[in-house]
Amino acid sequence: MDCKKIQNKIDELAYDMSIQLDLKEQAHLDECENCRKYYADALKATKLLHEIQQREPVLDDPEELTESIMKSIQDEAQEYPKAKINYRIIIRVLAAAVVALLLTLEIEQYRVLNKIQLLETKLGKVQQTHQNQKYLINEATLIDLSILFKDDNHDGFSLEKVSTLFILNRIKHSNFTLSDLNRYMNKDDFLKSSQKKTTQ
Amino acid sequence: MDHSQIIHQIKKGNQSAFRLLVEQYQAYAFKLAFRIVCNEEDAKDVVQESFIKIWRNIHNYRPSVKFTTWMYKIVTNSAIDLYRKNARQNSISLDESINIVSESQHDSTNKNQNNKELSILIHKMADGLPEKQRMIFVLRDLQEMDSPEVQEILELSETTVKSNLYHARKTIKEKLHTLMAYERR
Repeated sequence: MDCKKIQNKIDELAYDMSIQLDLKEQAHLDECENCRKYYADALKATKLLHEIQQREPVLDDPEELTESIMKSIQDEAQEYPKAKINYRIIIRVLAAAVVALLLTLEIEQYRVLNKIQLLETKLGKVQQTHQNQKYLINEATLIDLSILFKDDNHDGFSLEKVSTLFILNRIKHSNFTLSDLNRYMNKDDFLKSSQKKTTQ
Repeated sequence: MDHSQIIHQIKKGNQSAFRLLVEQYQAYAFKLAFRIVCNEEDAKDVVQESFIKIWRNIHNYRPSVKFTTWMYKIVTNSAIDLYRKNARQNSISLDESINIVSESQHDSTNKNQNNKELSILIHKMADGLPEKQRMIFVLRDLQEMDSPEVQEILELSETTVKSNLYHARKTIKEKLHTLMAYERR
């Protein structure tokens, strides 16, 4: 008979009292000294484990602990409520502020991305028109556009302008001037004006 | 006053109802805390801190969970925090634990002595177990909670509890065998 198998079964005895060795296994114990020792140790270990399980920690003075807990509660009832209310209000205000900020950012992001997408579509069309008519690049256009970043007389440094500039720079065959760009920012006639230029 | 009435009254701020709750459950909470932190004074601190948390957070209690489970979860978490804090300080030699085992079999009448011995025995037995295995062993085998309650308290799946308990028991069994073999010499 396999010693390892019997020893595993002996281990299970520690946690399950319903498990018992059958006659064959008991006969093996009579013959095998190693397994007999293992079984004897297991019985002692099981006894010790059960003793530890059954020996309960003793709370020596429960009344004292109760009073100590109640005193803490009473102290807290006198000091804590006001702070608790303030804390809750602060949490709620902060939560509302975070939600408002996230909403604003989301709307702004949507607005800008939408404009960029629109602009890209329009510029794509214009670019194609220019290529068809073999129009040559005007170097001054890109210089004009780069001024946009520095020009204090225009209506500020905005994300839309940066995005527009970025897209325009990607188009190698264009002659859009700064005034074209500003006009586009003010009203949606960019496509028309650029088409005029290409037909000149 | 029945159980749900007591909780209802506590939610309204009734301190007398809270006293009833403390009187009813502090002994069990103490046993649970003691078996985790293995120290009488620390266990009392854990119980006190836990009941204060219960008082503060009683409004968060939802009856969909058994009240005692919710309460023992608070006690267990407080005890685990303290256990982590003390973890490095607790180390007992094998010889010391053997002496304690032998002495404890002869005399365990004194309460303080009982707690001290028990503390060392649990400590020695569960020493070296990973924290998760140790907690599962304490709740399941020493505190005799059922598996779903252990899962709820430690926020673990059934499989995790089962496998960790298996490994914990295996390690503890080997330790007990070592203790017995050492004693036989």
